[in-house]
This record gives sequence, structure tokens and C-alpha cells, in this order.
Amino acid sequence: MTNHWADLKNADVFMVCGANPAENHPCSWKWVEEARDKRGAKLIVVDPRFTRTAAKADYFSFIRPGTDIAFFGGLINYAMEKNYIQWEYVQNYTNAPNVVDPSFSFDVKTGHFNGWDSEKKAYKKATDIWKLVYQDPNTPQRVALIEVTDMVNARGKPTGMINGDPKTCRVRTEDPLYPQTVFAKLKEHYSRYTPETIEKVCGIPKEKFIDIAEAYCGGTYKPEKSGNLMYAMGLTQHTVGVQNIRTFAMLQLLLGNTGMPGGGINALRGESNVQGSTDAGALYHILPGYLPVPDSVTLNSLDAYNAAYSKEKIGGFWVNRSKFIASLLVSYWGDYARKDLKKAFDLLPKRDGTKDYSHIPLFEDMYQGIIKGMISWGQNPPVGGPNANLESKALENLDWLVAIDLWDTELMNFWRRPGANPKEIKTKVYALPAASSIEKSGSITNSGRLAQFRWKAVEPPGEAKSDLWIVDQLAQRLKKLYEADNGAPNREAITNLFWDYERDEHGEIEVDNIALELGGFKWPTDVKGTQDFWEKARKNVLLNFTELKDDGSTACINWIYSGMWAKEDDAGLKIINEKVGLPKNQVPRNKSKWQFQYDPQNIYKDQPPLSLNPLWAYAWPINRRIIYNRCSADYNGVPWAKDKALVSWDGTKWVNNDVPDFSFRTKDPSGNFVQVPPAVSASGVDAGPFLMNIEKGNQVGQLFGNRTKEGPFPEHYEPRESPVKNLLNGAQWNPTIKSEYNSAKEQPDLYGFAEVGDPEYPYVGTTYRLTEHWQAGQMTRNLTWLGEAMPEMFVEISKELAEEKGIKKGDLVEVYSKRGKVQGIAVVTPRLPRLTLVDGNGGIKKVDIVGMVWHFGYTGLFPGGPERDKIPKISYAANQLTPHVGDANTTIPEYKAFLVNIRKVS
Amino acid sequence: MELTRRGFLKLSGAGIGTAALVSMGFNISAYAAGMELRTSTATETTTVCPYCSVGCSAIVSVIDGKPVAIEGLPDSPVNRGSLCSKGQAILQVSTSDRRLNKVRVREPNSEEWKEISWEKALDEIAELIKETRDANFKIKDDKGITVNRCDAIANLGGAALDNEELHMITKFARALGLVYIEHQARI
Repeated sequence: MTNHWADLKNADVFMVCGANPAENHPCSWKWVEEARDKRGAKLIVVDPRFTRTAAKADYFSFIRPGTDIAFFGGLINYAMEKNYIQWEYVQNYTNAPNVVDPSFSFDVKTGHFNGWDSEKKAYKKATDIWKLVYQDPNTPQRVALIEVTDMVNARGKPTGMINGDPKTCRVRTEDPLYPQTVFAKLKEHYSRYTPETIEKVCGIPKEKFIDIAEAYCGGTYKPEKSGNLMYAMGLTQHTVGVQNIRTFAMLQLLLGNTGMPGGGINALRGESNVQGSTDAGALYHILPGYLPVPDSVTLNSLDAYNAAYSKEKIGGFWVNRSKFIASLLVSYWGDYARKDLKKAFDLLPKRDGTKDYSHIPLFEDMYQGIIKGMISWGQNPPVGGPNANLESKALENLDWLVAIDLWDTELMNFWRRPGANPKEIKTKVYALPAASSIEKSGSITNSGRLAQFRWKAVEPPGEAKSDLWIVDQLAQRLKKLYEADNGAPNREAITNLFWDYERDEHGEIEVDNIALELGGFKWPTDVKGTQDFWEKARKNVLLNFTELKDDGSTACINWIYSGMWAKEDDAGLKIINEKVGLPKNQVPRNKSKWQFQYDPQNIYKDQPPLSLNPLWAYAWPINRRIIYNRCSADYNGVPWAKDKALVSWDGTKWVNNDVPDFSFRTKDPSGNFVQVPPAVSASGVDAGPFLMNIEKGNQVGQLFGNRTKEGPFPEHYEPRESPVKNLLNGAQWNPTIKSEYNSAKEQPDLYGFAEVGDPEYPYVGTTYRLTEHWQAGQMTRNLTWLGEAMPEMFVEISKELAEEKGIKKGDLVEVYSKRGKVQGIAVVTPRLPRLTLVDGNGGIKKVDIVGMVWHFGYTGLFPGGPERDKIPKISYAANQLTPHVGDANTTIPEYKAFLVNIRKVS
Repeated sequence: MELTRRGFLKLSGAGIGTAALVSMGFNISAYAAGMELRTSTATETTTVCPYCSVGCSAIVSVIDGKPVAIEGLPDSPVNRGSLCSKGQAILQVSTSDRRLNKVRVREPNSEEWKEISWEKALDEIAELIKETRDANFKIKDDKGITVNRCDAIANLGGAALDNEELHMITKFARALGLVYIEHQARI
């Protein structure tokens, strides 16, 4: 989330797409209700199903799964047509006024942007083909897009506070450069996305679309209004997942909603610490803190790694990357790294720079026999993975599997899954019992980037142990094994690994040591033993990542958490001391443990008014609660809305409610801090409002971007499996995805795809979650309270489809795709639509949506089928139907739109 | 600070309950006077819900080493004391008799699980990791670039673990040279 949960109360209009927070994030819903009660906020829900969230909506429409870019593109078109644009924001904080290289083009016939190599069936390098025009290497060319009477001159261009309605702005279309601006190109690109086309593609009736567009664009483009996008896997789990989000992010820029309290782009993450685990680099492409994993092609040495993000090449805050990687290397390899950072960098694995190692290819490679062993920390792919039949089969090729979990999961029992013969499966499987959340201590990071600590309350049952104990035991053993084996490859990476932690009376690593590594410290010298090391480290804490160094003198395992450990003169300690009355030495230094509010007597009242809650736990980065908050104020630093002041310039200095997300102060030659006036941070030159943008001299929001594979502006492409032809352009599906993996090529009948408009599979399948269950089910299907509330697999269909198929509520039905089948109880409901679309030949086409929950499997107290005699055990999980195909940038699987058929079983 | 205020809430809550019942005509004052809240002797610890990503805080009440109640933490500015049905069920996660409490192994081609000690299991797993890693380790690629990686072992999962655990797991996995490192965030 750019914002955070409590901040939802500051919104004026919500757009919820591909998410169902009232069901899946229930305790967040109070904030939406509060915005509605106190601010009169409106709620728009656009979803393939009429969900619990939809039941609360002021505006609701069904949408065909996989057509979100068409819908959002339609909103962009509508906002531009109606001049619902927050002009001063767009002029100053986005690249709308930038001039696009004349080579840019889009061909509707082929669905390709310029730079498409038709032989390789891929685009050339994005930064070579999709470019802005620069006056010199450091200065992108910008045009004054608008004209108003009371603007202050800045960067030689008209800008400044616009009094009243931004609609008083006149677009300077007569400027000879106007047709080449990002804004003009954007307008042209989305001019095809008319309400009539949206109706044909998405199934949203034209009048309904206009109502929604009016409510959202018309309701939030005014400077003081905040529009809030809430989304979840319904937008991301598509072959165009990244572009879905990007389209909406662009709309938020045009309407001036990003950086505002109550605004932003808010990903409602699905697991308690999926944010923290991503921050920690538990993905193939990132190290902790979103540092890219080294690769064999470009980032294959420390010099190359640092040169790629040098001051000469890029702008923005990422020029500091060399300090972050150096501090990570020191926390990994301690003195070994301090002596020679380059050698330490070489110890890190370099992935093949041309290869994707993500979830889908991981299981494809396991199926091919490349992967021999796997360690799983609480994941359950036979239920949660796409193409679950294939992924279960792939597990048979492992020599060994270590599954660490609280429960008897489908993963650890895959060798005796329904239909399998254990005698033919060679895999050795270890099931290690783990501790639950209240049986160990540590912090987790919620969707709002808030790291909150939880304390151990009870001992784990029986022999169960924390995951930290397990990894510690394995690491200690491997260190010993490699110390004894001089000939082992790259053994230095293990023998020199810094693993010298304080331990409690149970022999468990002191978690605060790791919290300190997150905070960052100056590496102690002249150390006498473990305790002395950590004593000194605690004394050498860094204020935050601005104190990290690239010379090996500082350690920090994750730069974005740097600042989580309070220095003795930390401002927060002082505030707690003065306002809460607790002596400084009694306040935990680990800020994730902070549970303070400004006014503890008034916690049920709204204190403070914006609910930034700066003393409640720790939000990365540097306790900033709302990202891009420079954009909450105008060019001159005056907040757009008085009641939404995050940062403001009082004429001589910045007054901050939130931690500023821009260079608000700097050191003068004598080392004293001086304030940076608003014009500098609004200029977009290296200190601009979007600091993490690496484009040189242009730290503004990217309406035109070259960081995604598909092109500068998102374009609608159909899902890989679709009932209709693409009406908007000549490419059926996203041309940049890997459309087929080996499994589908080799065994199309088992793992392949349905044709476009396949009569065998005429309906669109989609999956979702319930309040009572969670993810792959192991954490809820074993509990009586939750299992009794929602005991079995069910399938939701429309009344029309049910009638056509002779299905009644309560019947056992089977849903099947090209890849598998799943059985469940039919729920016949108006919550699922029959949509009216237009097919590629101009004819009317009715399309039904089949909705399935994906929590059920074959183990547990409520397995979802096997316990009920009439349901064959072989069809247990919705993901037996989903395909192995993913987004072009991230390879997130396309779970949310695939083709199915349905039949009545009994 | 919190304990005092919660203590007050507990007392006032009990008081209101008694008054309400009496006003309804039940003569339970003698019984109520001797009644104490089940959690009055409990040790309280705060926790954060392990399910969705809202990050609701809760109070775990423990008596004799057993959790007896979970309730939303009123102090939390995130959930202001509320919990959903899953959050309430954290109690059952800890007390369920379906929890794994033994280390087990399933041998190749076997049809059953066998119990095994932690020591033996961890020794064996460490050996397996080393054996598989060393047999499949690539120091340099075809172009002579130092890559120091092992394509034969995958590390999966972690979205339910603590930050401190995760940073140790990714440190451990990358020190081994693993590149197939993935978890729930991808899917």
C-alpha cells in the first residue's frame, strides 16, 4: 500500500476492483465505513461477482474477468474527455509535459508498439525504443501544458497554485510540441477506449460505466479530494497483472490522488507477512530491500552492479544502491566482506540472467527433473499452486522434500494423494513440526508496511520448534560440514557466513539481534566474543539508511528497515517520554515493539485526526506512513486540503505531520542542516516527489514508462484462455508472455489450453476466498470453529446457467478445464452474472462466469470432499483447473480468468 | 499503561453485566459477587494475527502455560479491538490436537510416516543439502562468468513467518547458492 489501513478513513471515493475486503480483510472495513459515515465517502465496486464488499457499494458493476485494462483505460479516456484532470499535479509531478521520442507508435492492427521484432517475437530493449526527448543528458524536455492566470513561474514554465477548480485551466494545444507530449500521446492511445467499447469488451453497460466514471473521476480530480484504489489478487493474477495496476496508477496521477491521505494505490495483501517476506527477498529476483539478485549477464560483479546505478547513469534515490548492497554483504559475511566487498559479492549466487526462476518455471523445471530437493516453509502448492495436478506430479521427481508446517498438509502427503501410488514414488519426505504465531517472538509487516512485534505467549506443542530454530540448526550443521570439507565448491560462502548471534536459554537466536541487523549498525571492531559484539553493535546503531556506507564499515541486512532500531537520541523516544510519560530507558529500542499513541486516554476517539499513528510500531521506510507525500501539497508546499496536511512549507521551513518523502533538508558546507525550499522538491530533478524513479533528472510520476515489458501505455489483451476475440487490437493475448511451457507443449491434453471461444469450455472460471478460510486451507480447514462455519467446496453459478444445465442449488457439480476437474456443491445465485458481450465478428455473445473457492484440498479436518462419500477424492482443489501461464513481468499465474465447462454429477 | 486501562474495562464490564442481570429479576448477586473473569489470573501478551495482512493486534491470555482467550487489542490503531472469525480462531491454532508435534520421515517408496528424532532428521537433511548442492554446483557458467549457484535445490515459502526468521532463511539459502527461491507473494 502507498497508504495504510487506518488512512482509508480519509478517502472521498473508493474504487474496489479485484478485491473483496469486507470478506477477506474484515477488520479493515471499519475504516471504509468511517469514511462513509464521517466524510460521506462513496464506494464503487467493479468485480466479476457481487461480493460482500459489493453489497455495501454505492455503485456496482459486474465485469468480465481479465478486462480491467479496458475498464481503467476507459476511465482515463473519460477523465481526459471531460477535463477531469488535476492539472497542477499533472504539470509538476508527472511526466505528462515531457516530450516523447518521435519513434514512438502503436499499431492497432497488430497490437504492438514500436520496437517489435517479428522474428524473435519480442520487443527490443525497452529503454532503447521507448524514450523521452532530453535537451541534454540530464534534462528532459518539458512543455507547459496549461495556462492559468495566477501561476508562479517555475523551471521556466508556468505552474503554481491553481485557485479553485482545475477545470479553469486551458490546455495549450497550440504549442508546436504539444502533439509530441506524453499527455497528447496518452490521450490518443486511450481515445479508442470509449464507453461503447467498454460495454462490448467488459460487459459493463454504457450508462453504468458513465455513472461510475463520473463518480470516480469527477469526484476525485479536485485537488482536495482523495480517490482510493483498493485491489488484490483479482487484478494481479492475470497475464496482464502488472499493467492492470499500472493503468490504475496512471489514472491516480491524472486525478492527483497519489500521495494524498485517503488516496493512493493500495494492494490488499493476502498473508500476514507476505509484505515482510517480499521485503526480505524471498523471491528469485530480489535480495532484501528490493536490491536485484546478481545475474550472469549484466550484474555479475560488484563493479558492474554499482556502475549500473551510478550517478552518471541514473537519477533519484537509487544512486545510493552501492551503500545498501555493501551493508548487506557485511551483514552476510562480516569481516570477510569488510576486507574485500568484491570477493564477498562473488560469493552470492548469480542467476542465469536470461532465465525465469519463478513459481511456474520452478515447478516446470522440477517436472523436468532439474530440481532434486526442496525445502518448504509453510507453503502448500498442491492446493495453492496453479495447474495443481502438474505441480503434484512434479513433486514426484524430487529426491527429497523438507516440509516445515503446523499441520499435515497436502504438500508433505503428496506421495499418498488421491490417485497416486506411494510405492512408485521415490521422494524422501521430512515433516518438521513448526511453532505457531503465538509460540515464538518476532515482527511481521502488514499491508501498510507496518512492522509490528508479537511476543511469545506459550510454548509450541510437543516437539514443534520455531522456523528460526530450524534454520539456525541447519545453518550450524552445514557450517560444520563445510568447515570439514576443503574441496567443496564455494565453501567460503558458508564457512564465512556471519552467524554469531546471542541465544536465549532455549538455545534460540535472540530475535532482537536480527532486528538490530535490520536497523543497521557500524560494524564493531576489537570484539571479544558474541556478547561483546552485540553490546557494541547496540551502541553503534545508525539513525537510518542515510548513514549506510559503501566501504564495508556498516552492516544492514535490509536497508528499507534501517531506522527500525532507535538511537539513544531518537525523536520518538523523546516524544514517548514527554507525551506518554514512560522513561526513555523503559521504551524498547526495537520500534516494531512500540505500542504508543499520542493520547492513550482517547484511543476510541480520533487521535490524531489523520490517524498516522507514528508511535504505533514501525513503518518502512523511516516510519513514513504515506508514500509520495510531497504530492499532498502544491508546488509552493501548501497542502491541497487543510485537513489533509502531511507536509507543508510555512515560508521558511517544512512543517511535517508525516516523514517527508522528498529531500526536505540538506547539509550545508559546514555540516549544518538547512531547509530545502519547495520549488526544489517540486522540480522533479533528482529530488522530486517520486524519488525512486531512476530516470535522470525526472523524479516524477511516469505516465509514460519503459519499465514494463508490454510498452509505455498499458493496452488491453485478452486472457490466455478467453471466450472472445480481442476487440481492441490485433493481438489476442499479451504478446510478451511465455504462452506455453514445456508441459503444455509435450502433453497438451493434460496441461494445455482451450482455444479462443472454445465450445468445449464456454464459461469463464475464476477463484476467490472466504472470511472463514485462508489461502491453501491448512490454517483453517483443521479448526472446528471455522470448518463448521464453511465446511465444503462449493461452486457459484448464475440462475440462467443453472437452468440451462439443469442444475439446482445443492446439487453436486463438476467443473472441468483442459487441465483438470473439481467437484463441489452448486450454489445458484444472482451474485454471478451472465454477461452480454460482443464477439470478434460483431455478434452478441452471452458469457457465464463460474466462481469457485480455492481453499479446499485432500487433507485436514475439513478437506472439502474426501470425507463426503459421494465426492470422488480425485477432484479436490480449484487449482486443478488453472493453467501454467503468467504475467510477462512477474509470472504471477493467471488464476482469475480461464475457460471451463460444468456438469451436474448428482 | 494498557494493563491498568484494560483492568478498568474488565471491572466495569463485569459490573454492568451484574447490574443488567439483576434488573431483569434474577437474584444472582451472591453468585456474581464471587465470580471472577476467566482471564483475571491470566498472563497477557499481545500478538498480531497470522492470517490476512491487515495486522490486527490481539491479547493472548495464558493460564498455566495454556492459552485460554484471544481478544482484539483495543489499543491498536489498526483494528481498534476487533477481530474477525479467523482472528478469533488463533486460539484453536495453538490448542488443536491436529497440530504436528512429532518429527516424521517418509522413506522412498514407503506407504507410511515414521517418527524420527530432531537430531537425526536435521543431520540427515544437512547431509542431503550438502550432497545435492555439491553434486550440482556451478562455479562458472559457459562464458566463464563466476556464478556460484546451485540449480538443484528450491527454497519455497515464508509468507506466514516472522521478519527475523525470513532474513535468516534468505541469508542461509543464498549462502548455499540457491536461486530457486520463491514464496507465496509470487502466486
